[in-house]
Amino acid sequence: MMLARRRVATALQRALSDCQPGRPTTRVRLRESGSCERGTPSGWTRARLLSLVALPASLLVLDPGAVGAQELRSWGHGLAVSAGVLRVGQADETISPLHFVGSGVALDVGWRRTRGRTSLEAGFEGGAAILSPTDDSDGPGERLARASARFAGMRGLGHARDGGAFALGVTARTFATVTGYRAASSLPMQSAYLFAGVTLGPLARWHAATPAGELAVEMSTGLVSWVDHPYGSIDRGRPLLDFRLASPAALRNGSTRVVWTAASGRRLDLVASYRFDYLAYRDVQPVRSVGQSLSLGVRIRPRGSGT
Amino acid sequence: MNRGSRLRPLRPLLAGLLCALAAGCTDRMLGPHAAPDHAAVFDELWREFDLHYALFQMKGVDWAAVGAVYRPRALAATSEQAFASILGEMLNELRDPHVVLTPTGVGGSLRYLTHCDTVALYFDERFIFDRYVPVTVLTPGGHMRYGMAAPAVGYIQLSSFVGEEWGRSEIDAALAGLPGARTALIIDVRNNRGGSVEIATQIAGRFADRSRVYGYLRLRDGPGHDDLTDFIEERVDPGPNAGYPGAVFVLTNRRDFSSAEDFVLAMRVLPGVTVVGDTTAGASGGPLLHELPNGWTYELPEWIEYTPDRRIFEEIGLAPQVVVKPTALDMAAGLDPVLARALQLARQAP
Repeated sequence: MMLARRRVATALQRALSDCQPGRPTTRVRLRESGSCERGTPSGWTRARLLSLVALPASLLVLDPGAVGAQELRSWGHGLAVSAGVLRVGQADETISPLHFVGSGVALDVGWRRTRGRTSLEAGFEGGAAILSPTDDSDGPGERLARASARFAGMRGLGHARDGGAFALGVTARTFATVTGYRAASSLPMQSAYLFAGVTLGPLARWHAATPAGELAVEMSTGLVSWVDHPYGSIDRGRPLLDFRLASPAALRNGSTRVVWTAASGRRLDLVASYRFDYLAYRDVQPVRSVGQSLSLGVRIRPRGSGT
Repeated sequence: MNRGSRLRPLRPLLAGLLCALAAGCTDRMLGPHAAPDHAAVFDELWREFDLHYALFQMKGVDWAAVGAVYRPRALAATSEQAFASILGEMLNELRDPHVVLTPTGVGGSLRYLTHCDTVALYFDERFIFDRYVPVTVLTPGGHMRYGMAAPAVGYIQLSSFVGEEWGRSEIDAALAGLPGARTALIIDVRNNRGGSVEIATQIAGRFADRSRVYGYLRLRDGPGHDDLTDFIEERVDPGPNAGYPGAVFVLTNRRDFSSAEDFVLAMRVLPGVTVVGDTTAGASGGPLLHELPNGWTYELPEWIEYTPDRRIFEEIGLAPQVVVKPTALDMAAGLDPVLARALQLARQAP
């Protein structure tokens, strides 16, 4: 068992270290054929994809005997509900060549269950915003509604030198954004557009306890993605579902979340979170989207769970 | 620890994050804006039509060649008016009355004029109200004019489908105002240039006995000019209070465009409906309004519409079941032969 684990770890390390753009050509042993040639994006992409998905996945199934074994007490069960403000910018060339930006409201519901060093999480995020063109054009406007659901499995890796704790895992996320577009016209010309997808990728979390609570930073990115981006407006009978596999080069996306939990020692904690999302989809009609949200809420812990 | 002291360490964090939200970096992270110069505007317009216009193949237009001809001319334009004019000329190559360019701040909308816009119709609606339907009433919303054309024969004029959410209420009001129209109803959509498909089909739904397919759409669905969706059904559904016991005659002419043609399509699949008059214009592409980087707007048709037997009627029109073409002599005599023929048929209706 230990030997097999070591072999997997060695292979993954090679995949990560050898297959860097700009490095001399090196064969990646995890692949059956072909090489990670210098300047060949597909080789780099495939190796990165494989390694970054496989590494956290392996941590979930293998016994992490090589890392610190301290219990991550602050990972207790709990349901967190928070609401706040949302700032969104969007440039979707299916809709308009203009960039739109605006503000709205955000809602975040998250649930976490921990057993030992393993944590499972599920969550829902929703938001709505009214957007206007960034170049101050008169007339056109967008109403944006977006929702996403996330599922994550994480494994604690132990403590860093600064007293914080690291965890790695995988996250699957589904998202959908519906944009209602109102044209700059006296006629009631409105249309709706959809951008949706499913992504799977790694998630890293660092958190540290302080006298007043806990600060956590989470970063995730989707590496394997299926995208549903109908070619035009969806209110004319166009089929809504047309999922296509998108390479990591075609769909670049990431999310960073900073969460402060002010521990009360009771079942109800105050939670403040800041989220930054970025998405760029390279297609015939590219999409770029940036979102920031700041939310305040509470975390409710069941009786008998950790702090 | 009370709530205030617990929140105290949060304050710098919250303040920093609020600053990040308010800093306006969201826009800058989206990348550079499209430039509003002539080259960028021309390229944007040409590219959007290349990607989304549905009727290239049907019309036999070589769009790449059109772009190659007009781009140098557009870039050589020395004024905004001249630039707009050249863009308008380029779009005219599509021979599509649904393609409209509005150079905001420079001039009025530029649209292709079909032969249906200019052909002599020998139609004057004053003759209707002078000779055939002398007493008329406007519906509360002002979208329909109705009256009795003969004993037990009602007349409703629908001159436009522009607007929102008035179809059902207005047709109900018109029919409520024609309690004596038990034998037949004449619905006149001549010179109706269209508007909302929803309103057109809502009004048709007032006469529907059940849900029926009245046509099909195929939407542009990819970068290739022949990338189209499968056939998407268009249906006319019976609305509240649906049903009319008598015969219905729909009057059409060459100046019926767009949603007026949807209305004709929807009506003619219903039992007891007869279309009388001349062929419609044949303008079927559903346009969406788009912007250009310089603030101008344009309308771009993204679908092909088909009859229930899946025939394209763009540039062809919808032929009536009873053909009546007014002449200059009718005009000189103050006659409306289309309405007269419909009245004759209505009187013969069971």
